[in-house]
Parts: sequence; structure tokens; C-alpha cells
Amino acid sequence: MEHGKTTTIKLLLGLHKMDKGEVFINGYSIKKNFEKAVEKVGAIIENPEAYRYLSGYKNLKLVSNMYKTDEKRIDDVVKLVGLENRIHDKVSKYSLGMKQRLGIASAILNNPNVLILDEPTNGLDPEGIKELRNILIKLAKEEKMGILVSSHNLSELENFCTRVCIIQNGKIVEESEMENFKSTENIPRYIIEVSTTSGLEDIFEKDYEIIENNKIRISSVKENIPKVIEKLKNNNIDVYEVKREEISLEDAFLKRTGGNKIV
Amino acid sequence: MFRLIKNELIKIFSKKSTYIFMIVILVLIFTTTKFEKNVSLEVYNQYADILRLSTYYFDDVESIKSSIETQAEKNIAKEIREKYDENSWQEYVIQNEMTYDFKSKLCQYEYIKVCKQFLKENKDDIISYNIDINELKPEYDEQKAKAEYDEVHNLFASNDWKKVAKLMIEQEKEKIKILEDNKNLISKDNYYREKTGRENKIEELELRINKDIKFGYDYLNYALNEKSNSLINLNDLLIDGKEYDDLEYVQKVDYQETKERIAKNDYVINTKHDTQSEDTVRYRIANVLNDGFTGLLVIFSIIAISSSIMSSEFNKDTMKQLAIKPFSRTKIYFAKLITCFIMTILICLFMIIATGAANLVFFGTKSLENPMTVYNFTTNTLMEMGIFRYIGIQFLVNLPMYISVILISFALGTIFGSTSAAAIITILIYMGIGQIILPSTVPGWIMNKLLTTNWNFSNYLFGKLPLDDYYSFSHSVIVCLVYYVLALFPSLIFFKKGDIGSR
Repeated sequence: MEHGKTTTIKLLLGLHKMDKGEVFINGYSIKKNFEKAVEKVGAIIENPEAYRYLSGYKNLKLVSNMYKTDEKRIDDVVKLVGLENRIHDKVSKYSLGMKQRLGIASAILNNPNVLILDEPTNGLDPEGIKELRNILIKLAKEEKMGILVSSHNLSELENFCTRVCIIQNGKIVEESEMENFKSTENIPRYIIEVSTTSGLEDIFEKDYEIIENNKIRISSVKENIPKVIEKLKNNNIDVYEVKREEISLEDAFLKRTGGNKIV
Repeated sequence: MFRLIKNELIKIFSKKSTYIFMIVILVLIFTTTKFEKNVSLEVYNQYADILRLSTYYFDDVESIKSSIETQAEKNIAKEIREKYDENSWQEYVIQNEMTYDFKSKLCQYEYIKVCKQFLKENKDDIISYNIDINELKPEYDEQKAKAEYDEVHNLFASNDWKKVAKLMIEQEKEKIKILEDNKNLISKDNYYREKTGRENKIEELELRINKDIKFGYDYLNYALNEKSNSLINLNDLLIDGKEYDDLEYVQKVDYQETKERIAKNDYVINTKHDTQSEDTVRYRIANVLNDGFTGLLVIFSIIAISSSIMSSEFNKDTMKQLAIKPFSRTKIYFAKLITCFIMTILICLFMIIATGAANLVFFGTKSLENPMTVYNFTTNTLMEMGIFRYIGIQFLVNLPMYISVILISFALGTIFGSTSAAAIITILIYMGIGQIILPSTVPGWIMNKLLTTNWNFSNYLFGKLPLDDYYSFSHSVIVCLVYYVLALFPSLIFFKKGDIGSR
């Protein structure tokens, strides 16, 4: 879908010139202080292109030369992306998934604090997507890296993103934690599976809703949930499961944006 | 920037195509050197054709006489080659010193013999064509001809070439005396030309004797002939007491080149160093950048690298990754450009080594002992120069051209993002496409003012006059700078300001 995600990233990284406005990365202006601004940034834009006539290792060596990193760092990132066995093969022999891994290795070689990925799951099979997700989660946790992902595949993003930013018609519509974003109301709602629904009126009066056999929905802040469970137990109603009710990221998107012109 | 340049060099030398290209160049250089070696050998064998028999045409008496004369000359040539040697001084005198009567004395007697045989074998045909046999018979006396024939052979058999040279000097002096006696019967120009020509010949023969240069087919004889011919040319230019300043521009160029030839051949004669021969390792290595074939290979190699170094990054979509690294686009641009200059030096070195290796294999090492000679047109002196210094100077005079070619192909590759378009357009500009596409109504001097011939600074080396008076050193410098600015700045601005990843 052509909504300008890639163009936005290209603008962020100075690949496209801006008519107006300004981008700051790590406090540096991309226009005025480009070299400083991108010094701690790693990125893959569109396809993870590398020099096909070189091995994966030599490609990383070129990047390493630019950042003056040592060979140990190359070995570390190769291990991190799981390319140890094929790193000395020519890139022309790589599958798309392997190229994606090499691209990530190349992007994180300089220990960036921001990693920008444009459509990282494009062309990957389910296994590849899972592997990529695990790598990204690992990077975020172990290397303390902020990862910015642009994608139209919202169900995939849902699995590893923690913050969401919606841009509509050039303006930020919403920016929040994934958990909050997917919540339907201001006060969270919970689905509780119970042994019986009889006698619930005495406990909750009208503040509940039976949604199917033995499942009810209540609105409550997180801190009150233990009290709700205790009340149910005191009324001899067993609690089997308590789950926060969420809608999918896709549905949340459509709800926030009205379903059109999403960036 | 150094790190970027290092990466560019790694990329170039990691490509298989770089090595394939080098192998192709090596094969081409070795093949052409082998071919040139064969050609130079053929020169020595060209006289083999002389031994073929003539065909007689019975059209008229003159045709038959001419055929008999030709056959007599061939027989004499064959006889001399068999009796002495195909590269002997006797053979050289017979074939090259035409103005002397050694050959005619031998041929007169041979004519009589061939004529007799011809009449005997073709009697019936001659009668059937109604040709008078008496008209074919030689006019000279057979006994006298035989005596002269023997006299020449005795002279040759004595193996005293200096005696022959002295006889030639005597003959020339006699001819000058006859010329003086008949001065009033010929035009002033012809008198002057013939007299100076013969005086030059006497000088050449005396030099030959003094420097002990035997008649033959070696570089020393070549140098003597070249000097002699150059002196004749110089006399022709300065006829009627003209001075250098009286000459037209083209004549001045000719005068300079003639003086250069005289000085260079004088050097060969005096030092006996074969510095003029082109079939030597030393000459070929020294002139590898100027040679029509290897010089063109250098240019094409430079174009191949300069036109692709930027465009291939766009074509393979790797420019995006490069452009988001912490280097400004100006640094990326100049790192690639500087890589082209480094590669140009490496290409020149490779060509020198490859040419040297090929020529060492086919021509041997002997010539490497000889120094290079360079003529200074301003002081009219010949300088000895080491081969590496000479190559360095040749590189410097070719450098403005290399820079032009690099900048144009690099700029076009940056702007179009297409290696082939950049390479083809640069080659067309290099080959002077302007002269073809500009309308013929545009005066030649305008073209010469603008076009790429100004890139070649060897026109001005050591005080040499350029080929045409349209050119001047300062003008060529300005033309080159205009080309540089036109190529460099638009492409730099395009690369700096343009969007990457949207082609």
C-alpha cells in the first residue's frame, strides 16, 4: 500500500530532502548535523541490499571500516542474527531471510541506540518472520535498542511492538503504549470465566455483562481485580480465568482513524 | 574519507570482473606484441618477393625490354643474396644505393644474358607478334659489360665496404663538378636541391666511414638515412635563403620536427645506442601511455571504472545504505572520485608492467640499457633521461586528459545512474563527436578552440609548437578547466541535493 511510510523513513534519514520541517535524532538535526545525527542509528530501508559479489562477512567488514569497529563486534552481531554458518558465503547465494538477517547485522554493527526498519517482514515466510521477531525482541532487551518499525502488516507488529504512533493526513493521531492503544475504553475491561452466573446481580448490581455461558465482562481498573475475585469467592463462585479484553491492533487502527488514509 | 576510499578500493578489487578485465588486457597486449614482432620480422623478409619471375607481355618492344630489365634486376638481387648474404653490406648497396652505378653495371651484363635466353625461348612468339628482334638486343657491348660486371664483383668480393664508400664519395664529387659546369642549363631551385643533396650524401658517407658504420640493415644505417633525409627536408624548407621566422606555421612545425629527428639520429650515430627503434622494450614501456593501442586501453579502463563507481551503487540499490552512514554526501562523492584517480594511477602501472612483460618475452632485455632521449625544442639540444622520469613526464602531460575523462564519465554516471550511458557518451566526447555533430558551417578554429584536442598537453612538451596555431598552452588550460567545472559542479550538486532511492 502506498501511504508514504518509506518516504517518511527516507525523510527521517536524510535520503529525501524536506521542503519544510526538521528531524532531530539523538538531539542532532539531520539537516544541519547529518553525520552526528546518524552516527548512532542503524537502518534498513525497503530491501536489505548488500554487495552481492561479496560475502556476508566482507559486507560487514566494509561497514565495520566505516565505524572503526573491531572484528569481535562483527562476530557478535553475526552470532546475534544467527548467520554464523553462512556468513562467508557470497550474498548472491543468500535467501531473502538471510539477506534480512545480514541487513540487521549490518545495521546494528555500530551499536546504535535507534534501529529503523522499513517493512522488515516483506517477503519473509512465517518461520522467517518468527525468527526476525525474536531477533528484534532480543535486540530491544539485550542491546537496549529503540526499534522503529514501519509496516502495513499490523497483526505482525502487534506481536513485538510496545509503542504505537498513528499518522493520518500528515498529523499524529495518537501515540501511546500498545496495551493502552488496543484498549477499547478509558477504563479497561476484563473477561472473567466463572463457575456460574447466578447471583451476580447481588455482587455487581448492574456493572457487568454476561457475554456467553459462564463468561462475564466488567469494567474496572487493574488494581480492583483482586477485590472482584475475592468477592466472587466469598459468594461461592469459582473463578477460572481473568483476561483483559483487547481488540486487535488492526481494529484499533480503524477505530482511531476511521479506516482511511492511514500512515 | 580515507575509510570510504579504502572501502571503494576493496569493492573494486573484490569484483571478479576486475580480474577478468585485467586478464583480457593482458591477453590483448601479449597478442598484439606477438603480432608486432611477426610484422617486424616480415620487413626483413620482404626482399623474397624480388626472386619471383617476371611475366613477359608481348604488346610492344618497350614492354618486353622493360620485362627483361626487371628480370635482370631480380637475377642480380638473387645472385648477390646467394653469393654474400641477404643482410650483407653488398646486398644493401645493391638495393639501397640506387644512385650509384654498381647495380647498373651488374644489370647491364645480366640484361644481355636474359635477353639472349628470352630470344631463344620465345623466337616463334616474337615472330608471330611481328616484333623486330634487333630492337630488343642491348645497345651496349657484351665484353665491356662483362668487364664492368667483374669489376663490381671483385670490389664486393674484397669485402672492403669503406673502399666502396670512398668510391661513392668520388662519384658524388664528380657529379657536383658536372652540375657546376652545367649550372646555367638548369633552374636555380633544381641546382640548389641537387647540390645540397649530393653534399649531404658526401657528408653521410664520410660520417659512415669515420664512425665505422658498415652498409646494412641495422639501426645505425637507419639513423644515417633518417639524418640524411631530414637534412634534405631542412634544406627544402630553408630554400632561397629563408630564415626560420620567414616560414609559415606548418613549416615551422615541420622545421622543429626535422631538427628533432636530426638531433636524435645524430645521438644514435655518435653513441651507437639504439634509442630510436620502436621495436624495443625500452621504447614500448616508455611510450605505453602515448601508444595508440595501450593508450586507448588506459582511457577505456578509466572510463569503465569512473562511469560505474557511482552508477552501480544506484543500480544495485546499495546507495541508500551508504548514504545513511555517518558521512556527508560530499565526502561520499569525493571518496569515489579520488578512488577513480587512484585507480587511474594503478591502471597506468598495470599497463606499463603488462607491456613490459609482453615485450620482454618477445623482444628481450637488451634495449633496457639504453637511455631515453628527449629533444628540447627551445634550446635545440638533446637530453638523456631515465625511463621512469620519462614515463612520469608522459603521465603528467596525459593527466589533464585523464582528469577530463574521469570527471565526465563520473559526472554522467552520477546524474544518469547508468554505466553504459555514461561510458558511451564519454567515449564519444573523447573521440571528438563534436566535430561530427556540429554543422559544417561552424569554422574549424571554433571547434579547435572548444574540443578535446586541447586535453593533450604533449603538444606543448619541451617547447614544442602545437600542431596548429589555433592552440596555445594557456588556452588549453582554460578549456580543460571549463570541462572540469562543467562536469564536477552539476554532478556534485545533483548528488548532494537529489533524493536517493527514488530512481
